[in-house]
Amino acid sequence: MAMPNVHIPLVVNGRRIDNLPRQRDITVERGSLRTPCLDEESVTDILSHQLDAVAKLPLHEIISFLYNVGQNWKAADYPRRRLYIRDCVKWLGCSERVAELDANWLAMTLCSQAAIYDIVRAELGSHHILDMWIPQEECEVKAFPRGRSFHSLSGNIPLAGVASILRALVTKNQVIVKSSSSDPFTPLALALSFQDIDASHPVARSVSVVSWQAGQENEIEQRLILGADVICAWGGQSAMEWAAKYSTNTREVIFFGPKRSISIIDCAGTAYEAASRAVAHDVSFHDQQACHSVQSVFVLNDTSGRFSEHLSKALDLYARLLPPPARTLDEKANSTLLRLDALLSRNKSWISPNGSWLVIESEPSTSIQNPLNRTVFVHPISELEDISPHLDSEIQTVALLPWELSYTLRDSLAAAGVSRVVEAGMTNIFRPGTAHDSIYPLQRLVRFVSCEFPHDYRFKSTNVKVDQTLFLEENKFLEFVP
Amino acid sequence: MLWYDLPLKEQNAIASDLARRSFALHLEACLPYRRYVDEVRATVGFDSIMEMPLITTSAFKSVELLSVGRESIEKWCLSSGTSGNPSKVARDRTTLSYLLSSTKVGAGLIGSWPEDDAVIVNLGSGGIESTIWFQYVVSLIELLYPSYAVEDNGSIEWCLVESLVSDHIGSGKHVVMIGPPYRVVDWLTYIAGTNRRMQCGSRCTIVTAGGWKKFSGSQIDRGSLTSLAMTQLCLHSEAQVRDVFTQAELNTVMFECVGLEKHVPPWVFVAARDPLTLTPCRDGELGVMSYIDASAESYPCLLLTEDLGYVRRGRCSCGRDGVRLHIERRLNSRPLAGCAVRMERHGV
Amino acid sequence: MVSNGEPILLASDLALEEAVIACSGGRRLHSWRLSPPCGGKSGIVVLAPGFGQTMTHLSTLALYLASAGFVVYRYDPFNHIGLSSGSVRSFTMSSSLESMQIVVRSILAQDLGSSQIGLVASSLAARVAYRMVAVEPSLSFLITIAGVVNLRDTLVQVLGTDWFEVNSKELPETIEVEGYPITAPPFCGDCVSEDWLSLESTKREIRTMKTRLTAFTASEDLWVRYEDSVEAHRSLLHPSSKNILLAGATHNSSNNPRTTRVLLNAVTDGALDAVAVGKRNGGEPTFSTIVASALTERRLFRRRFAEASQ
Repeated sequence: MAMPNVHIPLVVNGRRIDNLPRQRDITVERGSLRTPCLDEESVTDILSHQLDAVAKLPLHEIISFLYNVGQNWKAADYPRRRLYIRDCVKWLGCSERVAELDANWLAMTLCSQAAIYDIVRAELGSHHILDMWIPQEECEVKAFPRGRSFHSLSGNIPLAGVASILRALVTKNQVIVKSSSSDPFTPLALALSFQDIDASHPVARSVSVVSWQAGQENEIEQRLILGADVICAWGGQSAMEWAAKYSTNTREVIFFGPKRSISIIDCAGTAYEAASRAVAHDVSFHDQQACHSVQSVFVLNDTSGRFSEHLSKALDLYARLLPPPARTLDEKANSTLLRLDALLSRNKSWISPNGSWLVIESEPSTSIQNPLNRTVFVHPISELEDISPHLDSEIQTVALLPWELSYTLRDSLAAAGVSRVVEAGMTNIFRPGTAHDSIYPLQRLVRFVSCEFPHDYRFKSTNVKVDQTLFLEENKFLEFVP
Repeated sequence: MLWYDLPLKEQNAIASDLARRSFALHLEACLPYRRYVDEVRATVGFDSIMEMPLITTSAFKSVELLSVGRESIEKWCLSSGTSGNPSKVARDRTTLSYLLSSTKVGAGLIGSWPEDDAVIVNLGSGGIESTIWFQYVVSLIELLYPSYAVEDNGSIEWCLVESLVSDHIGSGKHVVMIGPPYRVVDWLTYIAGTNRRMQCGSRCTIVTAGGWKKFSGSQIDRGSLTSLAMTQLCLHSEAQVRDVFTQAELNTVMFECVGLEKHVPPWVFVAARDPLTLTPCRDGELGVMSYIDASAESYPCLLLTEDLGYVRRGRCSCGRDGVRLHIERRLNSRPLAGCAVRMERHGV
Repeated sequence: MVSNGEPILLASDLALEEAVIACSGGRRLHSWRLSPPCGGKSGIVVLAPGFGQTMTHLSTLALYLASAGFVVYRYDPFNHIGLSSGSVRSFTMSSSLESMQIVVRSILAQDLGSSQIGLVASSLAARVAYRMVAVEPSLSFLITIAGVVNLRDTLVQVLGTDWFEVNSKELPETIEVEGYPITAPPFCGDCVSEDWLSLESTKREIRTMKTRLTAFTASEDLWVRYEDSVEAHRSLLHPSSKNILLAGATHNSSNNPRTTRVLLNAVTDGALDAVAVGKRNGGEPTFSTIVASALTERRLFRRRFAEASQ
């Protein structure tokens, strides 16, 4: 029996839109959903939205609003939270535990006021800079929003989309989100939860959530992209290539492209169980779909050869703590094929009975594509130098244990192109001050405007008022050179 | 009596016997395979053919699998996949001879004409010197019938093809056009664009061979191709559009009968398998396709492929008893490193 | 024998030349000659095609023998499929004999020096060859493959009916042999009048044969009874003559590559043995050489056929 079409709305300037002249179907993991197609009027509405409303809000107002939204999400009986969890389970095939954890992290992110201030300060230099002119050397500087931000989400991890939206909001930009069929629910739930607090709030009204087939925007939809001042592009190579087309000297594009992550474990400095559980966490969180998800582990001093076995047990534990979605036929088959390849190459392998994870112990090789779905390659090494040939800028995060390894390795890891060094077990927590793919994204979402001090301002290097005409008349220049 | 006219019971018995012999041969002769069997802790003397360890097709990209000395290898055949790293399959004289003779016999499922009464139009560049598997197999067909390979430097002059087909049909010959589906679609689209229809009637057979995906990755619909062919070529029957299945790692071509089912010869033991346990699926149940092809003697052709499909056994609509396979699609490929999986899955 | 133009170079430096023999009544008998670069140190072999075969069907055997140093002649008989005159409808055993004799004699008429000449014939052509060789002492050896020795019995197996039991007036207009229609009355009449049919007739011819004979008999031949083959080859004059059983082979082993390869090597070695050249220099032709040569010949054949049809 065919499932009836379930409808999901768009959000236009904070307003829920259920009915538009044309509708389209979105194929998701477990069926299809019906949603309105963006029309000319909605695009005009979005593009004519007054940017001032949120641009002039003080930062504390925005963060407070987000906090209030977060308080709702924190409540287990919040209807929107329950609906969100239900939709993720029913339509995306998530386990209930994972969907709940995503909702919990959403609440945590929204309610972490202190962390948000710290992030603003770390990335922009001061959390006042968004609200007032801050003295910086011989200027006063203020960070202004770019204006209209367009977010093309990948949907592989819900919190990435949340981060993109919140970054744009705290920097006072209008937010237009194009959701992914991999996760049409998170941006929508977030936007609608703003309405639950105050539908007329400038933050709520500055958010729009739309969707269309990736890379196939029609003229109407393209107007939206062309109206953006900054684009945050998430996804694989094709998404990056798509976004690059829209990059101009007046339209910033921030690329969050495909990355992978690794672990380095020195068994001489850490217990097998602790290390394996940490790695298992970094593999299993977000079902290995995130850029920060560990795909390979380099293991030093595994003299007993037991790390992989411990890791297998830890992955079993995580299969219970964070149950993966039911593996598709393709996913199971890819795991089996990889396991057989490993055997032919005389590599050891461990596989869970229901295909929820796979461990292969092998020489490091860049030619084997990891099929993900909690597939881990374990590479025993005899020296840390053995890792060097396998480092490149495609690696986002290196997760280490023991932590002391970071002091030895971080310079060489950074030189090789790695963006982020963390302790194993912590890859999913982006601490305030961290760089995301080697940038501070908030900096790219604002325009720094400087108001420089006048001619009679004497500071470190000058003792006279600046009168350039006089200096030219008197041919005085070199005497002012320090 | 040809193999596809044998009773099913006999075909099954032959398949089982040859599968066991093939396993024993390669276990003895191919060191990497023997080591592999040891790794899976299998023992010699299997009770069940289903327990015989299988090799993935991707293994041929990285491991040299030989069951004869290198000096016996007469041809290295390459797959034509788009992954950038082709499979290399070593064939000796015997293996190639089996390929040729099995292709000659199997082609009878498509049709059989006196040599003077049929021509082959090969929508490829031809050449028995080709190492690309598909091109090589099609070029062997020229031993059966006069053939024209119409591709030149990657492109085809469709107006010349139109003349070729038209002339031969006009002179009473049967034209068999062979090519990958996208090429056939290009041809039919060209005809449609001329606003002429070719009056081929019963004198033309289209044989598609190769993947059903376009270069862009979108799937070509077989029904649409057939419909287009019927219209543009004025064919008498949909049975004049057939498909064949082969791959570089397999030494046998599977031909479609008039019932549009691909019959599997008894020297190939075929099974659709559960993707995790590798136990055999029921008739008609989708699984990962596997083959034990005893006609390959120079390399172990005990394959677990990247295709999803199913197997049916019994009476076919063409009237023959036999084992038939259906390939549903290729496995969604193992994604690139990074977080680019799910968004691609649904075309987002 | 009139040569048709420049030789065509096949793989392995073998030269293929076409020739046409002009015969009585305006008939033309087409022949090919395949020569090794060494010019035929091993001698000369004539290959006679079985029923339903043309010169191209003997491509691989010709390649094997030429690679072993033989100059190899092949021909398409009259009243048969192929390039030579006459329709297969008019096929008779005697017209097949006539073709064979014309080819052999035209070769003998050349200045061959001390070259020895042998004949290889399969199936129905072997039955013809037995008769020819029995009266042609110039041939050094005869090799037969699945040779028909009891024509009547073979025809019954092939046709499913013994047409020689019926009155000639009751014969059908045509009988179909391996998919080719033959006008029945002349064919059957020739079989009877020229004494082609019986095992006895074959035995008589073989018994008088002074030429060295090597017969390859297929153990699973449904068209030639094994007992008949043994019987026919029981009394062989030449001390080196033999009847060799090919285990597992059928009448037409071309679909069994393994058996075919064994046979090709056995025939080649048999021919070398017969001319006392000894072991082959070099190995077998490669598969790609075989296919390339076969393709070249097929293209040539089709071209000539098309020219003749115009």
